Amino acid sequence: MKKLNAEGPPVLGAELPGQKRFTAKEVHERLCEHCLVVDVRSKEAFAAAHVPGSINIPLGPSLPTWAGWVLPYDKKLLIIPSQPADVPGVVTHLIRVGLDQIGGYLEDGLDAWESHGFEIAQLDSLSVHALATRCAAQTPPFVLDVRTGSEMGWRTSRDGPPHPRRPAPGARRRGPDRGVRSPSSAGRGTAAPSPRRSSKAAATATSPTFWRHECVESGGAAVA
Amino acid sequence: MFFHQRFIPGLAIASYMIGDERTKEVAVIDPTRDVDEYLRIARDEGLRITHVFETHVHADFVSGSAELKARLAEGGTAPTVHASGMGGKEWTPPYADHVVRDGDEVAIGSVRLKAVHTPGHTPEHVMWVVFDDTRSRDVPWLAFTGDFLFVGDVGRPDLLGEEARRQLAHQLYRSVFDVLPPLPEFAEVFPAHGAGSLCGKAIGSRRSSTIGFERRFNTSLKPAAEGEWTERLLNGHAARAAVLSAE
Repeated sequence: MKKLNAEGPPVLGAELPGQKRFTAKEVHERLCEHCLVVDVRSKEAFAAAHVPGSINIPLGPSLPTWAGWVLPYDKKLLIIPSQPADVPGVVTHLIRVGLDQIGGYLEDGLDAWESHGFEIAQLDSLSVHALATRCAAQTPPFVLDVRTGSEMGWRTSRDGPPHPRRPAPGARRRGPDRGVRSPSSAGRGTAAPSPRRSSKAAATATSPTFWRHECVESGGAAVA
Repeated sequence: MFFHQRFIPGLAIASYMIGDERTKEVAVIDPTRDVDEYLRIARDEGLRITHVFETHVHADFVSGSAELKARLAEGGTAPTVHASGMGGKEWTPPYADHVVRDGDEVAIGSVRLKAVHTPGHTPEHVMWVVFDDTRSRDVPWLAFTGDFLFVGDVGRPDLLGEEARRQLAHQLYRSVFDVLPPLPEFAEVFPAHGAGSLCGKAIGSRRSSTIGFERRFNTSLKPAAEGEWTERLLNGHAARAAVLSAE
């Protein structure tokens, strides 16, 4: 971004880019390695059904921060909005951070995509209660928490997690109420809503610390 | 005197319009790339945008100066873009019409803006100190502090990488304790960011302040030995997003 500013960003003119409407068939035809589908619907809608390989950044004030962080500057972006009226706002967010390569948007939303019979992907998400139940099971899952320290509610990531990374064998915790949250309960648009996005964030961020959280509710064995 | 603050949530960007209602001239400070609102406000107020000022090369959003200049040029009169040249050629935007040095002044009617070099967040950073000549030619009224001084914080010096950050932190220390002191207590502070921006770590939720309030309550302005001050400053910044990097 600094470099773009120092070199002088391209002038866009009075017309916002990315106002071209695409049918589901056209989006399907345009899917290739040179473009990326950006889904700005809610994370719940994305979890239920989305275009395979698409990235979800729900429309909201944090969109440009996440977009500038995780979206590529060298690929054409195709937007999947909740409704066409959202598109100018999304595009304004994107051009503020220099993401000008916006091809257009899916005009009839994901319903049109589904009704064409095109492939959809889904995300499994768990409520915190369902996760707690799983953690209490005989073979609890391994929980990898990819939030940063500030998202965890610590003052800074340097403060570390609220409890040690590797508890002594047999140590008990009060439960996963603080340490573990499912994407659906993380809220505020700060948690990574898709695996793809979180892995990209992990690759590009320089300082987030990734902590392990062990499921030790109800005397279950720690998963270290 | 015309004054307007435009705040964009999320990126938490504050840009400004300041001008002289008698001469009908107005300037835009640190515009974002979606420039329609500046054009609309100028039209509604019967003002002409004649100048664009930048405080520094932004790392977290694309400057709207080139866009605004091009859009106004279509209508017949391009504004003069003022941007710092103190970071060398590499950090001087090519669309700048006036490559600014420390102490340069620009008058817009009775409103006068003076460039004060305040390196630290970036090497070329300037704050624009504003005088209302109808009140006083000597005593400033307010300052557009850019990413040098926020409400409750100073701009992070670590965005240009590990090597540069020590030097920038040193420059920021000098800017805070040598350059800022002459400003009077009552001078108002209008920064380029509010709470939520990644450019600081403790930015307050209010969108303006005064030098006196900041001297009293901004912990980064509390006198301290340079080593101790720098350590405190460099600790605990939010993840440096790729978007903020120099590349």
